[in-house]
Amino acid sequence: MNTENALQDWRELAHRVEREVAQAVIGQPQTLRLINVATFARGHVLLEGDVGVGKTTVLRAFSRAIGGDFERVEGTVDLMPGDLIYHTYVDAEGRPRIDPGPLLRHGERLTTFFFNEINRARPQVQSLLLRAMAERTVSAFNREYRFPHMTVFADRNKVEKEETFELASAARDRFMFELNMSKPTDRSIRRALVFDTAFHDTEALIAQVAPALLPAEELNTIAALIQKSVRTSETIERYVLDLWEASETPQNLGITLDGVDMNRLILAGASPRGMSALLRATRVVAWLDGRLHVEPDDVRAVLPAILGHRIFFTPIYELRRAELAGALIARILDRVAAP
Amino acid sequence: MRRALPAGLLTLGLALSLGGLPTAAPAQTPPAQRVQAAQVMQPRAFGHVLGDVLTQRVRLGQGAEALAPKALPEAGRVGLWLDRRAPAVERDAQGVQWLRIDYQVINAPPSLGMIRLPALSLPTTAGPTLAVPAWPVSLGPLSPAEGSELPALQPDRLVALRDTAAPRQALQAALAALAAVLLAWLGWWTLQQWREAQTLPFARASARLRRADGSRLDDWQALHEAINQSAGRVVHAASLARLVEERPAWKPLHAELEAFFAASNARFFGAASARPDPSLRALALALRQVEKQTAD
Repeated sequence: MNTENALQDWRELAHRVEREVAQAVIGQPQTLRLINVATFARGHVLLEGDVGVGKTTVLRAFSRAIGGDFERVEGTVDLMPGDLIYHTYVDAEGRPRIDPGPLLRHGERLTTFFFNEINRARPQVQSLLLRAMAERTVSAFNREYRFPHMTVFADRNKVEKEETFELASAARDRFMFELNMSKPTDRSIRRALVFDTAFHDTEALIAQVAPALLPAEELNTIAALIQKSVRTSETIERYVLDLWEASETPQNLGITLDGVDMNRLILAGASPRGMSALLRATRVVAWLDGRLHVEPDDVRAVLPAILGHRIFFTPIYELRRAELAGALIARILDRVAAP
Repeated sequence: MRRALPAGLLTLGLALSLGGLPTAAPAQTPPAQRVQAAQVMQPRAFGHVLGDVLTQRVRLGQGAEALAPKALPEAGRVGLWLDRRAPAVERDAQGVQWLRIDYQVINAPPSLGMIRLPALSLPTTAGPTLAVPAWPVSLGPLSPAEGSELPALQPDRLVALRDTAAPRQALQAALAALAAVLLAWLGWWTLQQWREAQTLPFARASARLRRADGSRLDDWQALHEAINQSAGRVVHAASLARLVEERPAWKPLHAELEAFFAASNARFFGAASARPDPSLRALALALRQVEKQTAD
């Protein structure tokens, strides 16, 4: 099979995964598209949103459609790094036993790892998870365990602030996207979620999703093929570099925000890793759209999800992040032109 | 040529006309018929030349019908000098009737002389015959006699030249003011054009793309920049519809703008575009027109 045919076949599969998940999760098309993009860009996703908007349902539905094994960990204040790796107990014969923990349990079959309420876990646990995300390996029992097909989804509880450990800037940078799942506003969707009994039984809902649509163990291969095949023009390269500079010094473009001293707003702009993630995601967007070249709209489609958690504000503005980040990115997109 | 008539006759004529003295009855008048001197308004007695019309008015009283049939003198030539026109009866403001007889001078004498309007006898049916005496008038030539020192034609009368300095100065001042106004308007217009070309996006773009053939990416970029600047934000294919909604004046150019963005994508990013490339110059000019209309 030549490259173009492979890309076409995988594109069909990717769209099918999205369609299947959309049956179980309604009113969140943007979130579904970006999770799909992250899956094929091999990036990890930080989910943030109101309570009960269906974050877990989305991930379980995706996990079922993608195939491979799914694992879920609840973040708690007493969770320790070791709890992710091994599990100790005394068996029926009275002998101590050590079994692999949630990270190791599935071996290379693990494709979706969901860390619920990551900000409830201690920084030590977050560090372990970050290493697992970055290298897709952990060391345990004097050997290295690999899970090359794993995608980590983490949910951040943004309601409670008690007994939580906010992710450090460097930790947030490891996530390709930070997706803000908000409550649907469309009245017909709200009506369906409340009155349609099909959406009340999560298990049945997820069971509707066609299982294992992808050969998940080939995700890395096809992701590399996408990155290799989708080309970027000089104009796009210039555009991305301009966006990067704008994330560092937006005041140079004449961007202003209400009640903000622009010269004291930015602590650090996007990192090279962040911009690399932008290009990876952008190429996947172009590919999903049936193209083998990147257009500015592809960049715009993912930029808010890429930059939102990667522009680091000075402490006086950090508390207003949710309000400022979106407005700043919107103004950057309005000012930086391509061509 | 006749010479002047005897002075005695002239005196008699004047006396008849002024005094209304009865004239001698003509020889052919029947003795039974009474003759009465007519009351006549004679023409001026002097200063006549060729072509002048001399009018005689004879008072008839209240009843014109009193004139006898065939009493009116016939129209036609009267002697060497005069031509009589057909007499007519007129009524004045008081209702009195007058017989009007016009004589026109039809010959010019070589020197000043005297002629007479002929005497007339106007019989009436019921009353006396009205006697109109001959009336002397002087008749002069139009031009001086041959051999005279005077030229045949008098020289043109010299017309005094009017002083035109004041109106000329006023005209010059008005013209200067007009020129100043025109120059000021031209200066303002030029400045306006220059300022627009410096500040208005499509004025600048259309000036730049005047000779563009669309082969240079810089030209495409210039039009993109003009659109972005005019919109106040970056415009791309996906946001074009929103922009056109915001600016109804752009609606007629929606298709051209879409074609421009599609062709631009093909050039800058490698997208295939089935449509032919739009004319950058024409699109810039069309957008410039919209800019002009909306700027006013």
